[in-house]
Amino acid sequence: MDEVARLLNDMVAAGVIDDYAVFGAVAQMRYTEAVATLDADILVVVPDADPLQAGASKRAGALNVLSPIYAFCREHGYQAEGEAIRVGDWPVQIIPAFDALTEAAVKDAETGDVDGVPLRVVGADYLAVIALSVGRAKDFTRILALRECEAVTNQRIAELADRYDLGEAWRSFLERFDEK
Amino acid sequence: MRNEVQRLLQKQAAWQRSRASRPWADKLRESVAVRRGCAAIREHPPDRRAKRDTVRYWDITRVSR
Repeated sequence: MDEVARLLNDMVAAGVIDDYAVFGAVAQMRYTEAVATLDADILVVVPDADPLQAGASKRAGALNVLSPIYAFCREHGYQAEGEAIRVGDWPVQIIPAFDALTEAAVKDAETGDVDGVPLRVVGADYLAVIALSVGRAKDFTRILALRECEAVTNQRIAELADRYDLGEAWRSFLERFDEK
Repeated sequence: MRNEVQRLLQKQAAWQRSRASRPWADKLRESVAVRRGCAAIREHPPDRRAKRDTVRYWDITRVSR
């Protein structure tokens, strides 16, 4: 993962992206025990680009936004592998921040340490609320794991959920998983 | 019985917390090892005809009956 961290830090230094933060399972592992995952998900903020307006369609727009990133990776010897870019042991999936929640998650990200290399990572609170917004079984498992390790509190999740219009989803989560 | 279960759960939670508090890089390496292990099994599935050397669920249940 240190190789991924170096590549992302180089991208910021070269101005290819403004900022980034790891999220998903790789971010979760900063707070909980190790979990199995296929790839590393990275949220990126790109300079002066609105992914929804950069092309004729949402799909084309997202691709236009990502093309300088893919070009940078190619120049540095990293090839695309399906939807991801292979960097050492990790298929890396780059996802442009796509709403107010993910933009704030990158802005408020923390700086972790991977074998001495700094790596920006989404905080446990945002990680839980992003999981809540996605709402698959594995996302609910992530929230439960983060709470169990005391990386985040119900109160903090509730605050963020209310701010990003996910209050109802959070109440439904509590009803489903918390003991009465 | 209830107290025993409570103690067991507390012990398990403490073990889980101790695993969670390990360095991030170590946990990421562990995750890669799991992924590689799964890929290896996919590429070289175990020979189902080979003599099994693990205890299966029904072996345990048969003994307990």
